[in-house]
Amino acid sequence: MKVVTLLKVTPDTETKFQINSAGTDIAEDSSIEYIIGPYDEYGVEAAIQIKEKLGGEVISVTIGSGNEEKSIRKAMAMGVDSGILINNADLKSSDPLSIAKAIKEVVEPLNADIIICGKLATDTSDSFIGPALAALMNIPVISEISSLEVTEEGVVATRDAAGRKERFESKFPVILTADKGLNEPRYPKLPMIMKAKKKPLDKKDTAGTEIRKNVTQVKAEFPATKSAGKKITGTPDELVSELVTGLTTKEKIL
Amino acid sequence: MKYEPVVDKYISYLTDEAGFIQGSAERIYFPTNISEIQEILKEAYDSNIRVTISGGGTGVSGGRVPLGGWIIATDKLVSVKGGSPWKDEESGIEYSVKLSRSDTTELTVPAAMTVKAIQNYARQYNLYYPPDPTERSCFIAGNVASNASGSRSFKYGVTRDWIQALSIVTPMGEPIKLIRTGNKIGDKIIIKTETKTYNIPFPDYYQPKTRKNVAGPNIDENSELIDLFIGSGGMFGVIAEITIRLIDKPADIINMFVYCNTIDIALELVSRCRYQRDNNIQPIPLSVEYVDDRAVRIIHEKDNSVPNAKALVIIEQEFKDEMDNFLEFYLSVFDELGIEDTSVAQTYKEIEYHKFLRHLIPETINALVKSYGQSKLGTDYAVPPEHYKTIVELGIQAGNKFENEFGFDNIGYAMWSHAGDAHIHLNFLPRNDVEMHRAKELMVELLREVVKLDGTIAAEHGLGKKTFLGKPALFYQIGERGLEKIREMKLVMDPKNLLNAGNLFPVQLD
Repeated sequence: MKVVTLLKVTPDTETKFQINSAGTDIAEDSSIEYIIGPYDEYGVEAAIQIKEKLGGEVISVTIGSGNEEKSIRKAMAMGVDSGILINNADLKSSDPLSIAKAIKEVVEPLNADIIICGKLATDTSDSFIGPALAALMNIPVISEISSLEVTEEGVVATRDAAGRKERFESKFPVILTADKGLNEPRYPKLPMIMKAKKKPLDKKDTAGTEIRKNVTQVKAEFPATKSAGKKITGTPDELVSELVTGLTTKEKIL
Repeated sequence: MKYEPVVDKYISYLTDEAGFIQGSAERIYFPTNISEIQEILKEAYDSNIRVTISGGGTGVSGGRVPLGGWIIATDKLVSVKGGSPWKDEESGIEYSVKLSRSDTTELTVPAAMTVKAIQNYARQYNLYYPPDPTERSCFIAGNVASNASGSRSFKYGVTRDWIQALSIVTPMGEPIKLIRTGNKIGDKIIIKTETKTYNIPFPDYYQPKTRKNVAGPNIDENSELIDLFIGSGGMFGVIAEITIRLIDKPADIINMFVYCNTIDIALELVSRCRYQRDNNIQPIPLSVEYVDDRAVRIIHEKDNSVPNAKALVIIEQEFKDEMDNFLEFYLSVFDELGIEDTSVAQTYKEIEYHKFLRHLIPETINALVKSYGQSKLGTDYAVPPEHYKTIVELGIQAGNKFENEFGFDNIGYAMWSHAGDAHIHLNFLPRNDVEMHRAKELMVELLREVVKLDGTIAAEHGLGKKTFLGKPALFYQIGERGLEKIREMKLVMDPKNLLNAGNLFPVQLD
């Protein structure tokens, strides 16, 4: 079984950003900790579990701009066998379709049975790459999966939709996008961290595809801060009376 | 000065995390600055009223429990004079702090800033505050009063080592500022305020030979004046502002859970790590902790990816560029000791998760004991490092004795330790008063052994109002004469013994 895991490296979701001096984007400074995108990490774990069950190999593919190797090595310490990193800042900041096309260029020759990525990139909040890649490669996609069974014949996956669980089956090749709940990503063991340092990582400057930037981000700013809420304490009677007073006189809801 | 009566909503101020003692008070004050603290203390002193200082309530030795009189709750001391506003996004609290960068980086913080908020602040500015107590919702002033430490003291020492200056209000209500200057006190402790000079007798009681000790004022000829106020349970004054030293953030930290098949393997691993530090050979871990099988079970029940190991050693290591060499070191030691299973947290979130699992141990133990209607009963003993193995073995013996005598389906004790500092937390889980009494006897037996081994009975928690078998805890370490000496020291600055009365030595209750 050959599994490709698309691995985007994103700032830790708890990072406190500063805006850059031009006011166009976040400032990339050393206080930002880069991690494997949390949903992509479910994909990495799923890929490794497939390999552990059925044998084969796991290859990670990353589009990056210089902050990625540490996270790729971590994925390797978890069990990814090799990686491909396209280091190109222009590509990374181009439009999502250009990125999907570049990934297609890299992934297609690998002839993977399963391509898996997160359902969402937590930095840009887009859920585009998995489905777009499926369209470009003309293969099926099952998105937002929260459980997965893989056999030699194909995959069975479920998705938690509103108020119901949906179940899908597919033959290979197939693209899967991972949701929370799919698994708990493992923490590497120490010997694996050492081994990961020697695993092959193919670094390239370009995927050879056209880079288009149809949309330009011109401004970034923090959302307006809300005024702090008021915490009320006291006995149940005091709480109720203070709450009612607040809702009638201050908030004017009642 | 505005105050409130101690009505139901302030009832938590009458006890602390351990809950072994319930106090009483008539008034509670929430001062916001130093002059308000002065005003309260002067009034109390003139009216002969006891005042007890309350921090974050995370203490476990009853230090903040009031024995009548008034409470000064420090919750609203969130600003320092001349500071700049900074909001802690995690708690939503807005503090005001003062950062100064010259040869060293120093940060002046208010009494009620939590250690977690300080760590968040430091992280935002690529800085680092090394002391890392397990409980991080504690107020920094409480950490100073109890000279708290936690696990990273293995490499970086205790809170005392990071305190550069203190703004204090004396028991009689005068402000003083103490700065670490490098001037040793020699054999005299003289504190000067604007109107008074206090000549405090020099302590001559037993001082343990451990890396950590907070049993009573811990002063010797190499101390500075500021040290009198660190780790003395607030007996000499109210801590209002604290200047701490920060260092640059290490490039990377990892937190390793190392699962060991036998206790001996775990103890050997601890001693290998200590060898590195004692001989100043890299890598020197930030912290080395030992967790016994019972405590591991608590973690396992929360997260079954953590195996039910016989012992768990938690090692934290920081790196700049030498990661490969450092990891090679650990790998070869693990190989040699036959250790196979490890879990390595590398990102901030993963490390926080490991810390969360580690913190579950005391939390679960405290909750279990409370569910039995009993109060926390744990040791805070430390011995000189060469006796670490002995104290662990004695601890296990005491725990097993307790479990065997009464029979337990669940665990009857658990032990974990800041192993690198030879500092053990042996916690008993008595389910009724008979078991409680027996557990206390076993603790006192162990305590006598600790003193024989040149150890301390209070390495980091402070002693507050703790008693063992009817005597103040400190009695077992320094005897009646030592207690009397501390009392003499206290009365020089607080002739009526009104501030934080009952801590370390008992007072007559009204």
